[in-house]
Amino acid sequence: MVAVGKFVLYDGFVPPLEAGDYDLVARHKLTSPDVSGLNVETQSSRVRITSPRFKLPPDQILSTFPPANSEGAYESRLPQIVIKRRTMPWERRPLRPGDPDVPHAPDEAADRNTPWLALVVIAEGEGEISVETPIADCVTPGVPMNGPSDVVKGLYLAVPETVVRKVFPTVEDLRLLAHVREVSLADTENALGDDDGFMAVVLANRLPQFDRVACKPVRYMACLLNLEGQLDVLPAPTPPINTFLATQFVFNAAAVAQDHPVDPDLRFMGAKVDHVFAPGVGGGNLPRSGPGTRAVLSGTTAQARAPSPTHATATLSARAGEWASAATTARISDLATSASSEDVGFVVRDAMRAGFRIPFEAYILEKTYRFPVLAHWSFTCNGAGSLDTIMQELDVGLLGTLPGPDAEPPRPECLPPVGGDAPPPADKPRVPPEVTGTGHVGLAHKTREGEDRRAWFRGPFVPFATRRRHQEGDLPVLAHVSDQLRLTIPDGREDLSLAVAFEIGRLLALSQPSFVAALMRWRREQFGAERARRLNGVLSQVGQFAGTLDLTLGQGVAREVGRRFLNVAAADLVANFGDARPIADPGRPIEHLSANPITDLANGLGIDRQVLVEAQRRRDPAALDDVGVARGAAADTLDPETLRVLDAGLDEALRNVLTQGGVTSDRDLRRSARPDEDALDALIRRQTERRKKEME
Amino acid sequence: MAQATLTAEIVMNEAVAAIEGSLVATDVDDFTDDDKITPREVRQFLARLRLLEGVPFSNIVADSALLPIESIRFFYVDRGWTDALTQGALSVGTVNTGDRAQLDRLYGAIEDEIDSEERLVRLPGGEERQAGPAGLMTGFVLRSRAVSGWPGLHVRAYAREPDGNDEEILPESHPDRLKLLRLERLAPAVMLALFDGMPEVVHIEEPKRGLQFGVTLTETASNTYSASIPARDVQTASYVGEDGSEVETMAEAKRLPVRFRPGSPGVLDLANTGRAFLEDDDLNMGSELDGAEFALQMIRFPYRQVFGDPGVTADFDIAAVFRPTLSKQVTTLAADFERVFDAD
Repeated sequence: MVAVGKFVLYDGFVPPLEAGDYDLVARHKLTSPDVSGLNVETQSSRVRITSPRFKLPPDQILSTFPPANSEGAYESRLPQIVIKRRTMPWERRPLRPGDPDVPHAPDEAADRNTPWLALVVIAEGEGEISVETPIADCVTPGVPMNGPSDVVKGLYLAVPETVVRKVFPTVEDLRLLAHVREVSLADTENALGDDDGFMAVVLANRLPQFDRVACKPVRYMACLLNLEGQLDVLPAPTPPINTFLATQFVFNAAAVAQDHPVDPDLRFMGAKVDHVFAPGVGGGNLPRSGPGTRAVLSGTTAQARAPSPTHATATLSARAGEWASAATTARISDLATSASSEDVGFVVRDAMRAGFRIPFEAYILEKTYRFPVLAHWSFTCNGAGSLDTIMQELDVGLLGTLPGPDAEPPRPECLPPVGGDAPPPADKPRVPPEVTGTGHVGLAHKTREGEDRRAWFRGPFVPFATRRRHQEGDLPVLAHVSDQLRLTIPDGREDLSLAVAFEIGRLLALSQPSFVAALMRWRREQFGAERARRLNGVLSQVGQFAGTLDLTLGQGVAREVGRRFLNVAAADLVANFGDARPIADPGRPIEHLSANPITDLANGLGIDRQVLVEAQRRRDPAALDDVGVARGAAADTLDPETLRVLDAGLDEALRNVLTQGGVTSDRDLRRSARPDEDALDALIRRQTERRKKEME
Repeated sequence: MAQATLTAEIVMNEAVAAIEGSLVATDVDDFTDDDKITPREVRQFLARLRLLEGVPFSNIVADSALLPIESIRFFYVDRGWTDALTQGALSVGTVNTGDRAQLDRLYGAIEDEIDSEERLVRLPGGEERQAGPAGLMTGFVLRSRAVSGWPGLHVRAYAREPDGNDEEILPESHPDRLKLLRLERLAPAVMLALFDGMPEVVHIEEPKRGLQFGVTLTETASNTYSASIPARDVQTASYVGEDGSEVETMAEAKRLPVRFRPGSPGVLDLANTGRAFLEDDDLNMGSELDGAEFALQMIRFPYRQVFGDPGVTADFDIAAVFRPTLSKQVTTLAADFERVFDAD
């Protein structure tokens, strides 16, 4: 077992049997000196050893480097794919019996140690990734692809001979590009979700470079290819060089397609085509017609008649190219997040193939080859922003430090300074925020009165160690409402940090019904018990309950307790509850009446003051009977209709008064036993008599 | 219905005792079997809340200028703030004065229980569980293209710089290593890490994604590059210096040149590069080069950024923490297979 953090590399795991159909024949031979003819029927069965051939199941891919759809400085790293099954690269034989001989390295090719998989990295414009195609068309025409296939349709990579010669690994290289790694399964970082700790790794042989001339990122596609039957196509070994010129380019069909549109129909119809290019590029510096137009080059081996001048169709600025590339990456990310789960894989892969879709075979005169693609992913090499540069250029500080001079994201050194048609840099912050050394930020605050103010706020992250509130002692340990946590600090503004935290906690709790339910359940069950326990403690001290009390279980204890409590409490109300409240509160004294109300009253009523004084002295309202009252007009002078309405109104008012006075008169309201005394007169009379009696 | 003569006190006490039993037995700690007053669901929710799960980012970082593009900000976590957060959550459902008075009484116990629960929110497999009251909490927010471009960055915080070059990565339960309480990408380019203590150094490491293979590129002339790799002895997997002796760090190792294919920028000539390896006796390659040996030479270690006292980390060599070993076991394994099949 490998220790965590360590790993073991193996040259390879070559399975004893390669994938394919086998006849399993079992013969049983019995011999006996006595008996002859002990023949056992031969048992024969057919066995198929399966292995992915045209499509790698997604669960077999443990990781890829560079990460799919990533962008970064990968110039010094070899792309790789990690495959779950350790035997995968050796499960097939790249050189099968009957295949054409491999001219360059016949010994290597025949060796079972040579993997049938190769990871080939091509840049945009160097090859074409097909759409789903029947298996028979996935290989170069003429190469037989016998035996069982894992899928009906697959993808293929179509590349011209130049690209094969320049980019593909040699037969000798193949063996060096695949190995097996063993890691500890306990090491989650390295095990990548593998089941047995062994995984096969296939490396690419190409360090992806970005475009140093135009200084723009280059998108690459890494393809895991099936080399079965096509080993002879792989390039011959070349004399090595110690340095490479990064500005050389391999091939670009986009320029061919863009600058010299050819009607593919003509080519397929066998017509003589004028404008077909096959750039063959020798070593050394290359003439260029301008940035961005990777123009067709008439190299030493050019087979095409280049019509002069190859004027650029689009003089993209370096900057614009960069943006175009960023847009592709962003679009793929968008697709990955927005597409529905069923077809997300297809949609994303389809988007990644953008730029690798030039119909090569239609445009390129030289021979093109097709290789089945088992897996592919794209990434962008942009020459800037490798992890170490990004990390070292990070603005490091404690929270609360404001940024220094506006930091630009890292860019390649070769890139010209921003200007001209370049998009404007990201907006600078409107106004630098108000930040204190304690990490507080001044923010606009609309108070509950609607007033616009500024308040201080500080999130949970502070630039120095703080103490907990109950360690400080000057604040309540537990707040029940957020307003308890509003602080006013010496500058007069409010510090709302803790109040905001309280409110967020409350809202987050409320947003989770399950938590609220749990809290309520807890409170009901546990707090209720605590309450009962304490109530009991108090009650046992009262002593009233210490005596025996017959209780029938099942009757409400609470009712009995309540009854007893009422008895005890009612024994001395004042002692238990304090003084009773007066039935009515005295009204507010009226200022000018306090002097001499009699005079005011007499003036108001228009009667002699002396009469009132006398009546008050004798406490007999009867003294007022003699006072003459101004009378209105005689009844018969009124309109009879008006009189009737007035009569009804008076009856109604009288009835109200009598009802409130407790007198029921079923007789005529305004008639009485006495002459000229009606029910109201009777009521007044009775009250007066009662009052007199009380006074006596 | 049974008739019984009881005092009210006895009835009360009996009733209370029955309920009081369940007050204690609300929950039991999974690891220590300690009794817990707070129900598990409440405890877990509050502990996650303590680690600021679900708290809007604008409340964590109040102004975007505090976290500019391409920046890392270290911080202490204000326990007062997170306490206010939990108090807010607990205030849900305190309807009347009685509830509040009781919460007041219980709050101390609840707080202690959440303190110990904090460390249980993130439990990495294969690590010992850590316990104890909550103390200082620190962390950082990283807003960078590194977060979006390298998903799965490794973050490790050490209370004391791990000494020695050949030390392995310390497990989280090691006393010198600080437990990571939370590590999360809040946004595609924003990462939040919370540590259980005060780190001396913080390592942010490139995700290994399996290991990486590559070379060191050097620009020799304008746009012309050569590449080299540090030499390794394939038997011991340690670096080899200029004089053929074993050296500790990558920086001291002899550089082996890497060959390229003419006319194809960046395409390696593996066969010839490998032959050059074979010719170098210091590497103990033997007579034949295989894929494992080649891969061993090409290993490039993931980049690790160390934040902390620069003086402490000056001589730190990241590559030294890995000790790849090469095995020849494959030959014996293959032989076993063959024997089985030869039996027929």
